[in-house]
Amino acid sequence: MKKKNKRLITILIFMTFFAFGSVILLFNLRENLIFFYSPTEVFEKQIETTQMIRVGGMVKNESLAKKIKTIEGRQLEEISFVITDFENELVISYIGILPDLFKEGQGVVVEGFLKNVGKFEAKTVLAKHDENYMPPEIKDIKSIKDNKI
Amino acid sequence: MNYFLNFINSGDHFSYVLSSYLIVFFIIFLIFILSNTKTKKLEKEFVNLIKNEEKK
Amino acid sequence: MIFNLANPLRFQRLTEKIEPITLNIAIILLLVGLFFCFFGSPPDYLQGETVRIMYIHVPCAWFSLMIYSIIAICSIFSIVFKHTLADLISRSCAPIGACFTLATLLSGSIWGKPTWGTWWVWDARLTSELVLLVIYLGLIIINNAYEDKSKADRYSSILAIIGIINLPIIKWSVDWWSTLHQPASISKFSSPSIDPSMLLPLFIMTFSFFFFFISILLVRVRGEIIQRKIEVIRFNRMV
Repeated sequence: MKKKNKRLITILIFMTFFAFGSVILLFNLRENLIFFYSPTEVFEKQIETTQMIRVGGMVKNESLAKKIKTIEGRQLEEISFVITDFENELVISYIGILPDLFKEGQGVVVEGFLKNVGKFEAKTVLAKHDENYMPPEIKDIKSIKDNKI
Repeated sequence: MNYFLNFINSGDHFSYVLSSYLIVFFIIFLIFILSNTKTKKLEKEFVNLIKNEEKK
Repeated sequence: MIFNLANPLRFQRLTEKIEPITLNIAIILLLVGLFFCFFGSPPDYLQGETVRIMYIHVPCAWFSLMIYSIIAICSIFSIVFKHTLADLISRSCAPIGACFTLATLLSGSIWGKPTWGTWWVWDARLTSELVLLVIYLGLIIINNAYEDKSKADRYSSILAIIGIINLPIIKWSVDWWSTLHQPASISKFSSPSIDPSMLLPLFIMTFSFFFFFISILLVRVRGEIIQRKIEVIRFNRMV
């Protein structure tokens, strides 16, 4: 066999093994690579209340509410909203500033602690946006169309 | 033109966009200049070497 | 044709002609692209003006991956066929790729602050792109670490081939795992989810960056060829 062919075959074998190894490794690490859980996963998983986790989903329409709360003598505005993955919902409470992109009907990722069933106290709120880009006028036309249907 | 005027007046967003453009173009410009100077330097060195070779 | 070009000397003569042309095309496209970036494209319905960062962030990200693919292919060629030109190209590509990756990370970070509300998160897409930068830096370090060029080329080729595994991870990380980063807007199998008015500046900037890349690459490859010639002359003199 020619030397060139030998080297080619060695590389191909090496790459296949390496690719297989990586795929197996990545599948086992899946759990750790996930940036956030969906509300459904939170319910299924029995997560400890002391464990800091991230939960992501859609902010439910007309669920955003604000109320003034007094904590340690200071008046703070507590924001609460519901995130949903269209199967399960989770009520989030949060004290702080929301990112600009935070909107009802848009994606969001919150980081914090699970309180009790269906309640979540967020320490940070990150807005997640989708892969759609369009000018505002077209968005208006589209939403009018969607409403008609 | 309207788009541009709105963009200039967008305050916070304007500075984010501008700084990201400046950084990206700076990096590309930097690698462009570095590559050119490196090649020019090597070309000079090569020409000098050839000259010395001919002297001998 | 390919074997004709694979002769470094002929390659050098050809590139000297192409170089100024690519640079001119790149600059013209850049000016046209910048016009569309700032004057000819609307703000986004959700993100507003920050969407303009996309026009440079996305091309940089594409090229960070494309340049790595070039390095990977050249590395396989270099190990299997021991071809000098493949070594020269992968050697020249590494710093350019590193720059594009750095540009991607920095512009993405500046984009992330106003949109997501954070400069950096350790999600799969961002982390794997950072790993790509580390691999690029590793390639640059190995390329310059050895007196013996052929040894350096062999080791950096091996690293580049191992690093190929990172490419599909970057590309599909947004689909495989839940990430803060949004999934791809432009894919082969569906129509793009970007409005045509925003697609135009994106593509013009992409082509502009492409020609910049080609022009920088040609300059670097030319430098590498000259360097090899210098080394040969020096070696002959010592003997």
